[in-house]
Amino acid sequence: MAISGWFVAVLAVGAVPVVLLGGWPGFALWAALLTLGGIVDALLAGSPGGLRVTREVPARSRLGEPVEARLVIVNSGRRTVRGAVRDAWQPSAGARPARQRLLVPPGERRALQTTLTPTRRGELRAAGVTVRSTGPLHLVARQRTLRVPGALRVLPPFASRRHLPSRIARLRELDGRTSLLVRGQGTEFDSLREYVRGDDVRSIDWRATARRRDPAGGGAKLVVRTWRPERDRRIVIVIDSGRSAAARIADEVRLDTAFEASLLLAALATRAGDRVDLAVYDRRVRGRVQGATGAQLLARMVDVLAPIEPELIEPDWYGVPALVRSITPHRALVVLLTTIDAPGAAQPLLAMLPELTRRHTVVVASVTDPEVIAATATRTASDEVYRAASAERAVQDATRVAAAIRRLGGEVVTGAPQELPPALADHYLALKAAGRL
Amino acid sequence: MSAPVAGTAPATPASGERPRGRRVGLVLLWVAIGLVVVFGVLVVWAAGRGSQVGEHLRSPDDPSPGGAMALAQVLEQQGVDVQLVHSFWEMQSALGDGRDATLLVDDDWWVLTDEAYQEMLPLAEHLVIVQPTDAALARLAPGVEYAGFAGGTFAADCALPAAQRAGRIAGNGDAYTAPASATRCYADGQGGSALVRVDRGTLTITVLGLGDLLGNDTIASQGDAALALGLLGEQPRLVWYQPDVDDYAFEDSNSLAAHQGPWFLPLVVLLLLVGVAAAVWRGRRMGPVVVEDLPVVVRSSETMEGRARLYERGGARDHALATLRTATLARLARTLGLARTASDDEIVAATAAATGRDPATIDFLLRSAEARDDRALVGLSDGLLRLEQELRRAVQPD
Repeated sequence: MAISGWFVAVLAVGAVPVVLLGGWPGFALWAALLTLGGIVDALLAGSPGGLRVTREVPARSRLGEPVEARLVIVNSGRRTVRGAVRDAWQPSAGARPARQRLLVPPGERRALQTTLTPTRRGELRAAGVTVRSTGPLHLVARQRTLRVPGALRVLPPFASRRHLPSRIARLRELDGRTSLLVRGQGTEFDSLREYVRGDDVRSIDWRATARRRDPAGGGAKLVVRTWRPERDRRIVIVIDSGRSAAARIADEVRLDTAFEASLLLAALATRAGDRVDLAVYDRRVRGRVQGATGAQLLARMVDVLAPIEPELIEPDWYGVPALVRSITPHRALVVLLTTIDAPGAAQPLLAMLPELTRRHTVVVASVTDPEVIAATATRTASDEVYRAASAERAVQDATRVAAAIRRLGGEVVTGAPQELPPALADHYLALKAAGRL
Repeated sequence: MSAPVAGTAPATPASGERPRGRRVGLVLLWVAIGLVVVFGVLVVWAAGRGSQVGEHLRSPDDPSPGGAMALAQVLEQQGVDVQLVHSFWEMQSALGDGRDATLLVDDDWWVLTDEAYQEMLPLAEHLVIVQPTDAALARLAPGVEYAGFAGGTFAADCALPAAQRAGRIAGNGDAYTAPASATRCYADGQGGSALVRVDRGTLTITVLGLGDLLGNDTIASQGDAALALGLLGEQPRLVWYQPDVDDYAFEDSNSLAAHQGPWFLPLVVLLLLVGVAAAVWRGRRMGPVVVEDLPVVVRSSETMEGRARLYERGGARDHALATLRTATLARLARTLGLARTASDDEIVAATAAATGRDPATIDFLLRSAEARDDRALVGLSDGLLRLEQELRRAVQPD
């Protein structure tokens, strides 16, 4: 039950009979009239229980894109239902409008549109549909909340997509599709073919040319070798979703930066013909993508990553080698997206690292805080000098951990939140060019 | 919104519908609370009803020092029928035709109005008024006027039989001036009298200023008891009238209520109801509040800021300076292209060579200078920054 503003207004108008009829008689009369009106109104209002509501929500959307959600309301009762409807979503779904008018004659159906503008990724749920059915006198309303489950999976935005075209162009340069005839590291023999004008003379394979010399005489046919980069390498991305991933740097949570970086790397690597596997791990595996390739890989990755949030626990690094072993038995490029800050906190990571570097190429990627870097150079007042000292200390700690990782055979990529994804992609390209995959 | 709790999956589905069993439990809880409140109010009301003791001064029900129970009991033993009344109507019916009765008016709360005293006048033949208000004096004993405080021991100095029987009395209260036609007793030495009797035709009106001589604690001293018994025990019946505050019989005719129409109270109630209805109208939620678990978010530079504050509060100037120097040395080495393993001496020498500055000053800045206070620390820090800039400019290819 709910009362309307009209009910309050009519009650207030009761002051007239109270004064004119001299007190309690007028009061009693008005109270009786209003009570009667309220009861009649409530009885004549269409029952919200007679409504059948179904929800039509797209299963997925990308963060930052508005989504239309539809409610289809069928009135299976005997009276017209008029009033208001609230489609209740959890607050971060950004459902607008909050309330909508509704008028459904018996036996008919109406559709209502709700625009969702999610403010964070993850699984967003609808709580229920509340219908307030007003009576014909507009005095009182019957209200009921109907359970209509619904969910929308909001995927990570993958804003680093914009770096992809330039990196793919670099990949093509590496690949045999552009004239890459010079042998370098990280290339494998592709084929021998006849020299055409324009080919680099250094790529002429004299021995093959000698063999191909036509014994019957005739012109000398020069043969060149072509090379192509390695293919079908394996890349294992391990994202640390532990305590430190919850930190917010330059308005982006570390975990989200890690997602961006891994998405860009995966998009690039799958173009290059490498196989990418992903695991999100703290003390147990929070999400895993294995065996997907091409366009399917990215779709599965965003789907798996969407609902994952940082956990306030210390990651268990000793489980990582076993995790990598379970993903692939072969040599692979293992990318650890984590945080390197304090030497103390990095101890388990450093202790585990040799086990990985013995078999694999290991890259540790970490986000640096631009605020800390800026603090090292701001030194006008005494408190700022202390702050700068503290910031320098933080930078030195991170440098020390990075040096330790390099000593143990790993590689380190760091960058501000916006810069880390392209930096990691560039590092991958460099490794590929060097044939170290 | 719920507290920020880490979690991938919401602990409870984001739905506000309560299970039916819990809702019934909630209703029962509220009913129980309501019953407890009603019961408590009833208990307090019942407890307050029976105990009139101690409310009025000089109450004949009250055995405490300020009450007048002793006097009332003695009067009863003497065969006087004592009736205690609290409202005007009770007083009227208790008096009946007013014969053989003494009316004692003790308006200790100053409740009664002019009108009440006017109405009272024909009801009884013998009236005793204790410490009367000005209104009472004007209506009941014209000519008698309040003359200030009186207290102490008084000698009987008048022809009143009760006073002569009592002899000396002790008490505190008021004194009055009265015209010569009245009987005046217990002069206070300043022209006032503590006891005045006025005869108005068949009426005798006694004004007793020494109210506290009726009290349990003073009734036994001197001749107080004799005087009280003499004044109040003259007739076989005594109506002891102590008006309560709710004795509405004679409301002040000039009060606000007299100007109100009969609709005033209903209108107030109606407006109250309008307020409640408006609150219900605006306050009724459309469906339950939807709760959501939000991911935990930590500001990353918090550790850095915290350490900076620790340095500052602890005055760790040496520590801060050492850190800044280490960082500067590392940057100088990088700018100079020295190996990571280069010693500090090598860096100092190379820097001096590149910038053309005296190696001793650079060494002083980078190693031996001490920061005695924050000011010196800021100076040294500026020096380090300047040195780095200078070196960068020096090695920059033109």
